[in-house]
Amino acid sequence: MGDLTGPLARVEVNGEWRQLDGVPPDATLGQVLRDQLGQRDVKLPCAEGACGACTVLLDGSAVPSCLVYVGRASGRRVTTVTGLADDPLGRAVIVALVEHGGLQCGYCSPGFVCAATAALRGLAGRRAVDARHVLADALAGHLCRCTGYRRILDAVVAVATAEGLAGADTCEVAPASHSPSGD
Amino acid sequence: MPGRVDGTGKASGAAQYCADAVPANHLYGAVLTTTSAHARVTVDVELVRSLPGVVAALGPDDDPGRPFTTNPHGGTKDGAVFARVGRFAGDIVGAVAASDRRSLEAALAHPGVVCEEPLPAVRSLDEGLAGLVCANPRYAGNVVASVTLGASRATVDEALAASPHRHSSVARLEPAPHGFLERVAAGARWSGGRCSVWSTTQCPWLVRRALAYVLEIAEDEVTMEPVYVGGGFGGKEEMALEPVAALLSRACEGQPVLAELTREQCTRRHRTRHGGRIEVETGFDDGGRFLARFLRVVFEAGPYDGHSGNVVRNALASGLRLYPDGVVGGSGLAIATNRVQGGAYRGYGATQAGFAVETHVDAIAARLAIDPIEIRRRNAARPSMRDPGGDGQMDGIRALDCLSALDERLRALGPTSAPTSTRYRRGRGVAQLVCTSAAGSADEADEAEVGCRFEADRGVISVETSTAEAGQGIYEAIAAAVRRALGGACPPVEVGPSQHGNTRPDAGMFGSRGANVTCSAAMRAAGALRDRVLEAAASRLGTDIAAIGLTPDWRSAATDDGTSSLDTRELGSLAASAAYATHDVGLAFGAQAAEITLDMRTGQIRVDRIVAVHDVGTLVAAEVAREQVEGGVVQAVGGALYEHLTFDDAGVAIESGFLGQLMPTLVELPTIEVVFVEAPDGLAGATGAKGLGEAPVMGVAAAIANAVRNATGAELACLPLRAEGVLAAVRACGE
Repeated sequence: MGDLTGPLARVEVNGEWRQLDGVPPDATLGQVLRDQLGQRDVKLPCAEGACGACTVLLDGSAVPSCLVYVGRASGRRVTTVTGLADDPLGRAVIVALVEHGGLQCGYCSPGFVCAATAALRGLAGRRAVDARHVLADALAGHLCRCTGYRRILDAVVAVATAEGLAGADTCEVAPASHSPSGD
Repeated sequence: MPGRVDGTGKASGAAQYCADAVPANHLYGAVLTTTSAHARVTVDVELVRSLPGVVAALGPDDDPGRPFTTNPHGGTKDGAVFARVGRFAGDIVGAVAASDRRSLEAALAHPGVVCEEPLPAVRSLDEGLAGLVCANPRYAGNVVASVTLGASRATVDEALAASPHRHSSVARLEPAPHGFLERVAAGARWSGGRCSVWSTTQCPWLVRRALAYVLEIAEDEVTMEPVYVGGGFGGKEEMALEPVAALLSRACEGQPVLAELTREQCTRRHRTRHGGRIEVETGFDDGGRFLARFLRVVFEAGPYDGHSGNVVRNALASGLRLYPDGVVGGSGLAIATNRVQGGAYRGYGATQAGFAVETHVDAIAARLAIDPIEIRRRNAARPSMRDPGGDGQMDGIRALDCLSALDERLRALGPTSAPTSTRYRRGRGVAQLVCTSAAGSADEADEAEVGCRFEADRGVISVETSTAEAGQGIYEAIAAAVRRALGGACPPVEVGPSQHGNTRPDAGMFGSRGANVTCSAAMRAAGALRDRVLEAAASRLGTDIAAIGLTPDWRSAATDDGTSSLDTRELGSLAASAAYATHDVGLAFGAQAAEITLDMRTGQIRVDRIVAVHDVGTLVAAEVAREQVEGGVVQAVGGALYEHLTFDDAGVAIESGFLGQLMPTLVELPTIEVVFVEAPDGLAGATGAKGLGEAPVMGVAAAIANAVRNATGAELACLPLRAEGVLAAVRACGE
């Protein structure tokens, strides 16, 4: 397999087009973001799609960058947590995580911010959804070992409420139905 | 915005961890490891050096020849950087640095690099105890450590024989990996005979000293660069890849090298919560009063000591301290095997001891039909009791207060609701816990030094510490301690690592010590800084320090009579530092309850609610404290229900990452109620705070197992409480 060259060897990272010449197309997006493009905000704890910490947005969709070949990102738009700091919704998620105490060691935070921002965007235009439930589903693949899950979810639900993405009366339901029900 | 001082940097991706901070032109490093449980090893370093992209390769011949302990607090010097005999599958026998990741991976995968000549291996704890095969010749009979505490076995046996009733039980415990997200890593760069180090360690100040020893250089020739730690939980308490990175960099003419473990290596070859078994035997009377108790702790150490001897001791001490009255004693063994090494793990043996003792106590309560909280009240530790885990008395403890607070909360909650389907059962269980801070001992004080600087031009107080911020919230706790020392009215407080290579003494992040030791030093340093600023202002204004005051933001100082004032920027940047040392911060008791729903068809447990009551002394930072408890509880639920590391018949670990070892996710979240018993007891330093880092994980597993017992009568004696084991136990008791 030849290395990426020419027009295919480009990816937009946080609004800036970056060249990927010489990068093998089967390298993962996460490794290339860190090693070649210097995006140290992308964390790679597991490299097997098990923790979600490496999540970035690819054309707005949350993807685990450790499982995406960089060739799949050619010519596309990648947003990391650093890029989201300039995005009103992403910024709101960052602020809410801090205010709700939704982080401890912080290593999972970049992935949570990316996934939560995408999930919140996904709420827009949907009606009568149980926002807490939907957001919990969206974040269920992310590990926080420290583990501040409740505060993370509270933070993201608070953004949903503040941004008018979900009715406040639907945001207080705990995501209990995922576990074996006793009722 | 409100929130912890390190919050925004972390949430926005700006915070730098070890692998982020190593200079971008670094080489890529990794370790060469063994694949068999026990083998004599040769490493073909010349072959590796000939491979494309490889810049340096090291093997056993490149070991500095200074045996060392990975435990930076002190332990048996039984390890090498590169072993000649691999004593477990994954032992480090060499290292490679390459110009790029792909070349590194190709070199690691190249056949014929590490040749292993297998040796007889100790493949289980029982084989280690049998002693027919030697795991490490350093440990005769495979005994890494042997500990006794309290009354002798013969004395306890006599008291047991005289007791009206006796109960004995055995808890079996599987090891489990820590599961921190940030992989273990280290970076190093040499320049002018000095080594800069980037490390994932929880104890940078101690690792600096340990690394200098191994490299045979002066401590001040090692600079620990400031980084955050992406979770540790005890697993990063030891020196790990720092010598590897330093030796690789030295072999590459000082170029920066970043050496990392893979996730598979973090899971399989790093450290675990100790597995093993704990036997408990208690003699008691008709009223449920404990008359005698003996604990026998047997933990699997792996081939090296590390923390194992200390973990066994703490397990024993914790198990005895829970109910210190009567004739109590215990013995403990750390047994060498050729499997992955046990290490420091949040709880430090007290989690395992808590599970063993607290399920045992519930069995006695059930036998006597006594309420579980009541039997604990009758036997709980009380102030002035003799401490069976140490030499002194159990002063300042609040075991009864914690039990009463839990009882009150459970009464307010009322009985658990009945499930609507017969497939499920609901139950509630309780457990006591006791956390012994690792801060200090009778022989050696634990000392921390903190520096404070008033940066008048920016109007902030910046605080520097050598401890690690690994998520536990120590930076926010330090900031809170500074604000408290200054009466709340003070400039914004920033906290960060020492800018001079983590040279201020501070043992680091472990043992529930930060809120007490480091924060007490911070309070003193803050007071010293205020005095320094007032002195400077008084001198400038030609008046006495007693006749001068600062505005709340410290922007200006003025005499009390208002006749003269100054802008504090005229004073320049002023600094002060202070140290605090302690031999003992007291014992922190707690009581926890679990409400569960059990699927009678599958044995699967769902944890619905945890109530966690903790004696905290004085709270330093309330929100951080709550976060510690909530986080610890969720982690403990995972440890109780499924986290594990298992081995094949050859002694090689099976699970290779998060997908195998299992950890809780957001959808398994119970309702968590946190209750703090606050009462400064005079033991706990300037802050009055007892540690809270470890206590939250200690009672959860026993409380869950006791809830299953109360729901079904089944006795659960194996941790984790896997569904298949729970189902078998439930069926064995006729359900």
